[in-house]
Amino acid sequence: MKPILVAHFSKKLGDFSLNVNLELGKEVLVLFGPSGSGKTSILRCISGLLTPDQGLIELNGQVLFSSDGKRVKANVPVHLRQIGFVFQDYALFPHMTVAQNILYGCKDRKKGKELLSILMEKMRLKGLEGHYPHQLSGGQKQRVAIARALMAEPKLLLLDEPFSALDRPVRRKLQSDLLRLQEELAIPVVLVTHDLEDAFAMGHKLAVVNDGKIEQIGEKEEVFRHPRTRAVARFIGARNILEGKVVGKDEGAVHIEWMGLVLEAPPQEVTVGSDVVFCIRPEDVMIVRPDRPVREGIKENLLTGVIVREIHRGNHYSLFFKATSVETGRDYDFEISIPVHAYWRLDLKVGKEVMVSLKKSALHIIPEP
Amino acid sequence: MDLSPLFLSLKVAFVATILTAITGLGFAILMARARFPGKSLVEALLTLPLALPPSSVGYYLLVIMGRNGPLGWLGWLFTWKAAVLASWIVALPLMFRTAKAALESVDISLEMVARTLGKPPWRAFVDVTLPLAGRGILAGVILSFARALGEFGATLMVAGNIPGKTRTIPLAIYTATQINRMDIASFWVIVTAALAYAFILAVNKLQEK
Repeated sequence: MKPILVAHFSKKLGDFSLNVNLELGKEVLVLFGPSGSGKTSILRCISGLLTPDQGLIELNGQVLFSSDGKRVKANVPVHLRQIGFVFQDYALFPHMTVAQNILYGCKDRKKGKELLSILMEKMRLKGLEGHYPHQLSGGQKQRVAIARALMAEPKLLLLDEPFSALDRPVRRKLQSDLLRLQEELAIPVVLVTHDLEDAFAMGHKLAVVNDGKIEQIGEKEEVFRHPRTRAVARFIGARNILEGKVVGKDEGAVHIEWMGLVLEAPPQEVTVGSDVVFCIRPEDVMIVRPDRPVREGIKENLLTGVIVREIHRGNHYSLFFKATSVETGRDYDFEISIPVHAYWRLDLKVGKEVMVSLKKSALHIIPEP
Repeated sequence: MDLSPLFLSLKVAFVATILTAITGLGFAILMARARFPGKSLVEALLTLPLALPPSSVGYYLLVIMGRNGPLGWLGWLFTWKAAVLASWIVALPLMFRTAKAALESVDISLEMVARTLGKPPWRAFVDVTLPLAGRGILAGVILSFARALGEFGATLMVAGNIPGKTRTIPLAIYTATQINRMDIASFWVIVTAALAYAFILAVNKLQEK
């Protein structure tokens, strides 16, 4: 499939520089990264509100920006790019009603009236036509801002931290509405967030942004399961990042020595004898049930130890596990995430001795630490 | 009693305010948006009449509009038109600074959004920033009118004090006290005080949210 959005560009911004390489079809790309990593600036460059130093930006085959760093060959002005942009603070026009706001970017008055009622319906704004922005709740403002962007029939929609100011139920509802809308409109969407949960919920594709650079971009699952750098592993919440040495490999597994213990990881391109960094997500550290035989899939990489600390996080527990079978000198060795019901079933508590398995299929060697 | 100072004052202030509003807003837009070398110097120059004694503004105008000055050919000296020019220069900083502050108080991201919705930069400015800065700009216009109405020093220098021709209310007050006609002076003082008070009330009303 030919990509709809192609963006390869760089820009110096003060003391750091943006470096972007991405291509996108009719799907949702989440730009995920810490605050100040340059996510918003990437959106601004694509929309034309910022001008890159050099590079190429194309939408549906039309060149929006092109420069070799010396001469700008093309730079379509913002208002001709047909790129919708929803700002983080919504930026609704305070002197216009909801209907006037939404109709502002409408090109065809007659068609606009029709589209207005469809958008009001779909964005759950019915009855608010005559309200002014200051009379709306945060969630309603965000919906108006999105409807306003869609009224202009954009070929690409950019959303800057669309959920950051909304509470959880409002956020969930808006997320599902947005996903449905994106499917209907079949346009690419680029969404910026620093929230891991939002990134999980929204993206088809995920790009991890750090220090102005796209560290990794790919299918969401792929990035979550197989982070390419230590920074990516940290941002996506891999939590347990360890250092070891490859001591052997065969077609079935890579053997990593860690603290005198040999762990098995799925086969991967590594050199025997090299030092490696590997990681495992907290939900992939399995607590073995003492009353049952160890089942297939978690019989490798077994460790015994104690739970030294726990944090109840609502629907799951974070447990901090200290291995007794090896001596690492740290106050805890692994973070484990376990659903509340499993926590109760296993009768876990701080101080309890347990056996855990670092699930082999989830043990991932970071290729470029 | 001769009421000509009232009508003359209103005429001068009205024309001067139109001039001030247009030029002041123009400079405000330029200074709020454009970037060019020496901008801060231009900005200081536009504010200068606020800090200068009006008589020295009058002096410069006298030189410019004098027989040998660059605008001498207009022959405006000692006519009501000279009073308009004097009021314009003196009121300009008020208009410029108020309008610029009003424009700058409007969130720039609103204009950016308007552009992403397909409007060219000038349309975005006219549709969004201008109406949102409207109250502040109007406050600037009223302040300018009040300032023009009260202009004395520069007007005396370039327009003189010709009864029925260039004698505005402030000049009438001055003249009346000189010839010890306190009844006339106090009449005009009450008129100006009432006008000024009404203007200040209006400006305050505009500037409250």
